[in-house]
Amino acid sequence: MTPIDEQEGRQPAPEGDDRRGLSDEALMAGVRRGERLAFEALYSRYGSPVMRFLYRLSGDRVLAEDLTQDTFLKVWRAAPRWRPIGRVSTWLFQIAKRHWWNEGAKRRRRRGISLPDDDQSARTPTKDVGPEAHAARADLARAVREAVAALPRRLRLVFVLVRLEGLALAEAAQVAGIPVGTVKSRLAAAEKQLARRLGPRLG
Amino acid sequence: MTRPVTHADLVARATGALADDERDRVDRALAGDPALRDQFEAIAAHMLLYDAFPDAPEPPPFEQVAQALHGAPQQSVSRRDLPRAAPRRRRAPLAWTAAAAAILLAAILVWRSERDAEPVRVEATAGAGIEVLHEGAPFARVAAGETMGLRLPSGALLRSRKPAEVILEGRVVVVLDGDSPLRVEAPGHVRLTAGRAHFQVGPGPFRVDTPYGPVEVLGTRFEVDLRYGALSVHVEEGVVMAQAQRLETGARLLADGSLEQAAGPAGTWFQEPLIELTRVQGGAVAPGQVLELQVDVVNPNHLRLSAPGPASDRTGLYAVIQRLGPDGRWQGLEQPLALTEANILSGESVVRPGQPVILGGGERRSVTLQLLSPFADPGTYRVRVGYHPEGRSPIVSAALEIEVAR
Repeated sequence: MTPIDEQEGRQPAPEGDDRRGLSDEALMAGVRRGERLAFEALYSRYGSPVMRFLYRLSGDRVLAEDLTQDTFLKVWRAAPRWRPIGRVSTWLFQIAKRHWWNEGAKRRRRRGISLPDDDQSARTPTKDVGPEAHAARADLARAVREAVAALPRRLRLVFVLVRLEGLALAEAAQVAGIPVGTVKSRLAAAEKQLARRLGPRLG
Repeated sequence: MTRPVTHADLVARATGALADDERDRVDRALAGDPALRDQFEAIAAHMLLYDAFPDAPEPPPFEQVAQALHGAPQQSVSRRDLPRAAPRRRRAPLAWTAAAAAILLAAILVWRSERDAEPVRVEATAGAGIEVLHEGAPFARVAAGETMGLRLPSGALLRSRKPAEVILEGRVVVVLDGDSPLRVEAPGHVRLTAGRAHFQVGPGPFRVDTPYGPVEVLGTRFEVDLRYGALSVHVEEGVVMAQAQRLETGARLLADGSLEQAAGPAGTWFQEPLIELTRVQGGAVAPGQVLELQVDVVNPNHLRLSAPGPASDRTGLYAVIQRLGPDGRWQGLEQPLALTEANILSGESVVRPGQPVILGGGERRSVTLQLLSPFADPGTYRVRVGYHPEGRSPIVSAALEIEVAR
């Protein structure tokens, strides 16, 4: 038995059981029963999307890792009372968003706003782009990140959900806990602010 | 004769990868074609975000999270941790976790290095569900319409019962036809064992092995078809090597070994999607009444009908509403109306930015549209529904006249 199963006094999943082909709901049912393999499969499926979401929101790799871990700890704890009333992915993003909203703000006040690392910026495939053009694009990419990071959190959340994560408006509204109309107005406000800030750079 | 501007030209212009004379050619075309300029601006905005927000780092290893679970029994939560509830104020045992992570670091590094031998990053943006198998066992599954990042071990097999799309290594877009298993051999190297797949390959070497020999890619967009007991290759753009022959844009190597050259712009064999437009309820329409229309889209080939990502609202299905003016000419009533969640009454969304919809050959998709108060005044109106394919000019395929009575 795994350490978790031992501690909780549960039966482990059968040897060689592979749950990665199951639906999200089936996996959550397994997590609710305290099955470590189901939880591992859920983490394998959603660890990266949740990490990416939190990284884009916070711009801080360490903070995003901590919040990702906290999110899944919360999922594990809340699982026994989870009911299949919505998409699992939406629920995960809701939890992740709440962690970022509550704890990210506190940490950011302490550390100041940080931006995603530059090591992969300006990665769009190009051919024969000279160093000057590449540097200019890297500068522009940084300006865009700075502009997004400077958005008020409520606007940044909506912008990341819709424009970077590609969520539909209705799903973004569910994650953010606001009406669809508010998502639209905040998205418009975010893009207006970005355009104002980036306008001089874009010519 | 001036060569027409392609999607690839616009991408290259947006990334600054064009030589001076090529850039001038594209700029001249942009200056004279507002639709092309709109398309270019959408591409440029997409690229800007793509550059600014590179992939996130990997999440912590699962073992690190699992260790933290020791002190986290289930059932110890309040209702606030449940879906749609406010978050509960609590600190997870991060300090403990950090200590555990330090102790386990060496073991984790060994485990990860073994697990990640020759990894291939896959973003599966599924038109249909995609199954991933490894050594014959289920490895992962991506449900229809969901996007998922995976690190695949060498030998992983991707398969789908219906046409679906995956992105390999962030540079190779593969549209897999139904029942066309694709085995990921190594970075830049896949094996297609049956069926058909369409590839759009970014810079870098890429090779598709088939039972009839390899297809080696020199940066291109092409299709490999094994359905007729032989290798058939169609090059939409670029150059590939297959059966010891160099195939350039527009070439089609047929299953019988013969070679054809495509006619048409840019040597493409693309067939336009067919769109049918019908009224859900007949009869006269009163001013201000909401009009329900059914749009049926049939894709004659298996190329994707998709919005490729953020800032791509100009791609996909759209509607244009016109009113018959006193001079007998049609006048535009408003900007093209994007057919999205906001005005789709029922049926699946044909276009959702970032989540391409893949229609198989001959596959049909129906959408019921609710056009919100476009007919405020009496008169004769015309609703035209069209499709704006990725990288191509808009196509208006169906129109319907509507009388709005006083």
